[in-house]
Amino acid sequence: MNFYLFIDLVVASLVTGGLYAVVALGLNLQYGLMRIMNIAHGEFLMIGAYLTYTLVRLTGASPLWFIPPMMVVLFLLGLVLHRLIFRRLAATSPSPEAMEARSLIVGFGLMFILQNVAQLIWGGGMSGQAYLDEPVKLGEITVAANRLLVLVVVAAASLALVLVLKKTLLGKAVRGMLQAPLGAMLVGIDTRRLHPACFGLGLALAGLAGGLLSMVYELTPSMGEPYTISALIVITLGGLGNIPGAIAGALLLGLVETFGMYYTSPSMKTLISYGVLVGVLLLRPKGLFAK
Amino acid sequence: MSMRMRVAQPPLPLAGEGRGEGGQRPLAPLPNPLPAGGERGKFGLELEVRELRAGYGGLPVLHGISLCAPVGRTTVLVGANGAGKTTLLKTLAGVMSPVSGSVLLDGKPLAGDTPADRVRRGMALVPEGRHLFPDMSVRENLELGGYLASRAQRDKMLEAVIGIFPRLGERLTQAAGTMSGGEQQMLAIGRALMSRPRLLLLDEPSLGLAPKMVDEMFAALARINRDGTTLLLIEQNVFQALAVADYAYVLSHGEMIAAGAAWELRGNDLIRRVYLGEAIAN
Repeated sequence: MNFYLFIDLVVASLVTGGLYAVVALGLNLQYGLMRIMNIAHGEFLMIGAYLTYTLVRLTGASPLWFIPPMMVVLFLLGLVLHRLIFRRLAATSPSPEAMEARSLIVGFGLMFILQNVAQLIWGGGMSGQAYLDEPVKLGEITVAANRLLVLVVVAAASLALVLVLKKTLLGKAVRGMLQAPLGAMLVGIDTRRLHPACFGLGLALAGLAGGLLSMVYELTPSMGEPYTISALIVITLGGLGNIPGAIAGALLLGLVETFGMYYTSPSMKTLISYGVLVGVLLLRPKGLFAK
Repeated sequence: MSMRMRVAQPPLPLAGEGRGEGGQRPLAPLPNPLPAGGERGKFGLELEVRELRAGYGGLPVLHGISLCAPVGRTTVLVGANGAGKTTLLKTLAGVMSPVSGSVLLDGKPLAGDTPADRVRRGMALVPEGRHLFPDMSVRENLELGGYLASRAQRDKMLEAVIGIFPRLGERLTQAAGTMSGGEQQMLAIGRALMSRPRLLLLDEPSLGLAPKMVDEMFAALARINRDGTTLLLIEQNVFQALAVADYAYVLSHGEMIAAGAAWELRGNDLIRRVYLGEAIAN
């Protein structure tokens, strides 16, 4: 393999892995904190992508303008969904396992509803509006500008989230809730306020990934599903509730998928990612980084 | 003076009452508390529990118990495993809801308060099993203990906690989960102290600790109590607990069967039997 092709593949891996990381971080918070098995997580990515695409089509402005307000809308949608559905589910579930099972069923319902709503509004075909689809030369290496942009934004978003969790008191409170829910309650961390906020944050992050994807790929109402699956694989790789682990797992999955597809065929993508999942479940069921 | 009155009430459901003649008459609460020392009575909170009933999903664990932890004193609650001690403390901290009965903090009811509200009102619980944040550093654990306090208050309390447990000061950057059991217990107490509680509840703080660590921990508790904080602790280590406590209650099968001054209960047969889990009244 020549050097330029190798760099190409690495960049493609990082773009894929970075998107996986952003999607998986939100799902990891939702599952780790609230045992919400949000199988409709990828659908919020799809909604984010369509919202961004629609606004770009309507105004002709850069999608970058619309991504932040679209994330706010998804955050608010998250608060509403948590209030209407998941809070009630948590209050009536007798055990965390029951919460997982019930939220999974609810998630499937949400998935069908959101996909069909999207189909009603935007149609079932592909839509797309490439943005910054031009090559950028970095020395000897040529990269598409929009991919570079996606890479920079997902890296910045992941880094920002890690820093908030690591450095701020609020972030430490979230980590505290992940590591010891009872301990967190006893020091006065108000889970009734932080849980909905974290659920909304998960949706906003999925929306961010969707908004970025709308600059690069075609959109369909079912585009979110593979991202839900990838996010679940990433969480398994990184360990439940492990934030740095999820980022490392996402980059690793991006690399394995991209190089795997290069050496076999793009149609093998699903087989490769499920192979990774099965391998991890067999060899390190608690995640690659478990002690 | 008013404190004397409070110690004597509320009337305790004692073993002999309502059970015919068969029950053993336990010791009445001693109506003569130790003299209150100046500041000691001003900082702490008084806890009063009246006819509290609680349990898990319809299965009652506490059958209407009453107790009082007087301001600035150490009160110990002893009883065999399964007597309902942990349920009581969890209910007091607001993690479990009582079926009926009331809890008063300085005379004001705690009815709908969330765990966070209770921390704001000056309560803190060191739970059984500690529930530390294992992957976070000692410093982060302590910071979260002061989650509801201002930054300045947190910094001040961090220094105070390190003053009480110098070992924590040497290990601020170590992950909590990698420390020894004794050190983790110090951290659990330190984390609870970070909210500057005026009433500190402790669930089996000596459980699983080496004897030297147990001594060290009781010395620290005595020091915390000297600063005016009211203490209510559950202990398996009955005789050591009675040595540091002012008052003691004995809980058996969800009912309070004895209460009194700690020194009075220290030599009592009943404690021995309850502690060993033998049947008391039948």
